[in-house]
Amino acid sequence: MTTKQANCSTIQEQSRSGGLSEVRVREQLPVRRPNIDIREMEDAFLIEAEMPGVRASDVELTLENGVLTVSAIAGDLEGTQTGGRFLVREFGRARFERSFRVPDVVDVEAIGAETRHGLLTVRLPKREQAKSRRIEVISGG
Amino acid sequence: MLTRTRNPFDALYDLRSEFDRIFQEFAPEARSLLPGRALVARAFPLMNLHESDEALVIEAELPGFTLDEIELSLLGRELTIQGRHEMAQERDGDAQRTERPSLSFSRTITLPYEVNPDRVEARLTDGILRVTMPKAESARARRIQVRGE
Repeated sequence: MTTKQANCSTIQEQSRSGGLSEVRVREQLPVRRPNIDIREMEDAFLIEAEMPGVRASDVELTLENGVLTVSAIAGDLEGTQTGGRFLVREFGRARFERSFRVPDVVDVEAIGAETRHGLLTVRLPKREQAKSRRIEVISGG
Repeated sequence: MLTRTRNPFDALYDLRSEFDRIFQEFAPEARSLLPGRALVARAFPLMNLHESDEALVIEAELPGFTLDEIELSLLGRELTIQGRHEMAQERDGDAQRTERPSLSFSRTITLPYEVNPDRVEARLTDGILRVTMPKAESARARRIQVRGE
């Protein structure tokens, strides 16, 4: 099994008042919008995103104002070897990124993700009360 | 005299047309990697072809595929990569969005010269297929001694 748990952290940059804080400048990489499939199950939403070359440790999930952003930079591709040359180059280092508005029914604390064979799966469980429940109908005597 | 300052991207485009010549079967939708430009990937799979002194290396993006779903064949200079998903896995739930390309593909590329088929090696890591093809002796650059008198 090559399933690894991605570090799914809810990152919210907060500047401490008066403090000196670092501003991180992202690498100027081409941005790729990965193909995705979204499925809704009874108890969760599932996002599958194609991110070839991406390992769990490369993935960053950010939730801000109800918007979930999935971002990953594929680790160094082995193909970018020293020496030699590219005769054809259709892909290279890039940042995969997409954002989703998360519906209220999702329990944001329980969002989880994993990568497998270059496919990122994000699971967004629904809150208890949002799951459809079977209501028993009791016939009065 | 006409002096022209060339946009560095022009050189890239020239290179690109050279690629097109080498890659006879070429997917027009695949755009090259230019900075700041979003990629549209309709050719499947996207590929790189790298050449070093010892080998030709093909890389192909195959997210979600496993090795036993992929078939490689070499006929002369034509390398074909084919794949088919075993879609037995459960696809339950309501599909709200389906963008991932269809489950089978085939792409053939023409190598610039022949390679030794017995020594071709393929590896699949995190959805990237890497095919290493050592060059045949005849294709290798040889250092030729120049003798002085």
